Amino acid sequence: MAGMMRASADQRGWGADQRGWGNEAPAKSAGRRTWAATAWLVAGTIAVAVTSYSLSLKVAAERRDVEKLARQNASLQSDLKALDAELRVRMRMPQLQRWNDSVLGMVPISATQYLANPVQLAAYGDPIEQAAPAVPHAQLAVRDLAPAAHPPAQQPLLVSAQAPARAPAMRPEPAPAAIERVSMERPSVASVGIQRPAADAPQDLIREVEVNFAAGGANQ
Amino acid sequence: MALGLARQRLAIGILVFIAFTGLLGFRLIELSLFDGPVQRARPAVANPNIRAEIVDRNGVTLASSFEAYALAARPRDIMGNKEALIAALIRILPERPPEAIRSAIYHDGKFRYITRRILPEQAEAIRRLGEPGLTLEREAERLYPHVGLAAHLVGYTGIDGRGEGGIERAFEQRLTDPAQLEKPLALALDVRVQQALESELKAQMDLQQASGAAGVVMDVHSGEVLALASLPAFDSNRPGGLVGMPSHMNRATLGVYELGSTFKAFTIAMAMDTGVLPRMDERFPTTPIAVGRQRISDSHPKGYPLTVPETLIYSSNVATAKMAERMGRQRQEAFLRQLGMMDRAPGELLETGRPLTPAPNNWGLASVLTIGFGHGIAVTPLHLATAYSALVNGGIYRPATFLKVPEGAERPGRRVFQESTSHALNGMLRLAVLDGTGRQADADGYRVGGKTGTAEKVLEHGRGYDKRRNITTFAGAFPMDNPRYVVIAMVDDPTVGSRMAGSVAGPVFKKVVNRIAPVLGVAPDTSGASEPDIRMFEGLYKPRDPKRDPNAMRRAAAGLPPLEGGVR
Repeated sequence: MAGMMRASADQRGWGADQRGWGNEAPAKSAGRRTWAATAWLVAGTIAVAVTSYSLSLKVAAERRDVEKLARQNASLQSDLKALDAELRVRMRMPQLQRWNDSVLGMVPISATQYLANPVQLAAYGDPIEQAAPAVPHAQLAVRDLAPAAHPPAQQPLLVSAQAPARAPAMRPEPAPAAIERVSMERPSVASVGIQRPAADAPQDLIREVEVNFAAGGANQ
Repeated sequence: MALGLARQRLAIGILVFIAFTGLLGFRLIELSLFDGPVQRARPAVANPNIRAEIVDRNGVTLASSFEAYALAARPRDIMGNKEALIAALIRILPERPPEAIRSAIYHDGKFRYITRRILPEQAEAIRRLGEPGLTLEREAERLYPHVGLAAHLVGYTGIDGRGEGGIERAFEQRLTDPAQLEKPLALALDVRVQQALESELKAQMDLQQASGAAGVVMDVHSGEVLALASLPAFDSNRPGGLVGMPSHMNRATLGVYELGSTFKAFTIAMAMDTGVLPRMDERFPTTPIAVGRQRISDSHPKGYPLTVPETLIYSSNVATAKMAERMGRQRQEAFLRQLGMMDRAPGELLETGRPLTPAPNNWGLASVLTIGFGHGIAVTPLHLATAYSALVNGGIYRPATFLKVPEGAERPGRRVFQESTSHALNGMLRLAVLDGTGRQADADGYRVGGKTGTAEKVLEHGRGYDKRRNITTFAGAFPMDNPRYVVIAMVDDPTVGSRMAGSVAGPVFKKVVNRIAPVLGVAPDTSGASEPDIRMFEGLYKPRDPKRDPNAMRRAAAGLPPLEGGVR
């Protein structure tokens, strides 16, 4: 602080000296040039400093944003891993086995459920020319909505309803190693009859039931 | 002039000083307004992969690491009120006993752990307390999603994060190598096969109140171990207890057992290979024989001399002992060495058992005869699986491996049996399942072959055998027309129901094959066309069900008439 005060005193003195040297024109103009050069130098320094600092600030801000994004990324990855782990823990093999033992009751596919070739698979379906008369089956399927009127054996079965979709997967070759083939035990006939009020049954469902009933009949 | 220059310099210095001070002030304002909250939002996240993942052959995760923290106290550095700090910690760590927290805070020492493995959220809450006397150390939490599945194989890590068992211990360096942290360690294991094996063994163990069980599923050509079960098991996430506990012992690779009649297949193969058994129709008497103090007799006496296939089908101790006698000690020992039965269990695990064989100076005739039918020698189930692989795969021995073998790569092996011998044994093992003691192991359509083994357990004090306690084993392979997988099922000391291997381990084998064959892509064939070719044995055995005899089924599938008088 003392130095600053001395400096300001010098500045004042310097101004007095300048006035004192006013009658020496070349010295005065030289002093002005020096002063102007100094001013330019200072102004340039400040300009460069301010510009550099603003650039530095900008770079720092960008870097900070990148770091923030990286941190968010790592955090999300961590969360993702945690969720993935939770999912894997929930679907762990012993747990799946428990569910199957207590609820699903699925058993491995037996040797007799394998088909030797596509011809054997095709034999499960009705011939094309006999497919047209299957329309009366649709009536049967619809009338099945009143189960008491029909013997239980004619009811469409849930398990047979899935048969056409599953049939291609039952080919013995090539057996995909990564997929475990299982099948559901066929439930008793009386327990799985599709019973639905006639008014609620949409047309496409009736058609589906019709097709499945026909396929199921051949599959019995 | 000089004075003017000095003044200029002074002015420049003042300006630079003011500018520098201004910049510092500006930066301080900026830091306080903008930077602070962003940096306090979350602790810096380190790479949680402090330890590489372990996956099965299909990429299913078996072990992975998560970021976790350990909390420790430095009681002498605690600045605030200790009671307030304890209350705050109890609030943040409700699962930790308050007494433990209190004792750590008032601990008369420099450092003490309060708890290990706290969640990142809890760590952040503790960090916000701002107490310099608390230290948070970043640690990795190891998670085993399948809990106790393949616990002995995968292993577990200790409190310090180091592997203490199984693959975790054997591959400590690989799993912690910074260059390979991102690359999971792929095992040969298939979790679906492992689950099938473990659940079926567990069900049988519970049904018969057995003290333990073990099982192995192995690829006979590559030596890859697809499943390795040891029961009872433990939870890898909370291994607890001591390593010496029964649940921590790996019965499949560390426990050695006399596996009984499963060895008869080796003895017959050795005798065939050494040329002492030139003809399959040679008959061996089954009358009991005495060697020293021991008396050797058959468990299922037939009352007439048996041919070579019948010896295996009916599991004749006497006939097998006679074959071993012909072969002699030198050749028997050489074959056992070739099959790895004289060395520690194969594979990369460190928990491997050394077989118990007779001492070299005590390997006399009695030992030769008893080893012939699987007594007097104790090996691990993994030894048995590896040796059976060599027996059925054409005669090439390849040590077991727990690591996935790349597709198409062929592991080096050594020839132990001739290919023709292996082929003959495949047929005999198939007949042993169809007509012999392994009938309950016959999985329909999968052409399984194998041999039962029932051995009495050694008495506690080490001399003699306990006739009421058995080790029951079934060693088999499928499909026998071109064997691909060996399955070993062993149940230790069943106490309820039958104690014979055919009734205990046989059904386990059958259920396991029924479950894993579709997974492994083995197609069944009930027509008989794929039955192994055993025409060389025609007339040398009596089929139990002539319609299911492989020879008859093959002829029927080929459209040929049945053989007249071909079978006795």
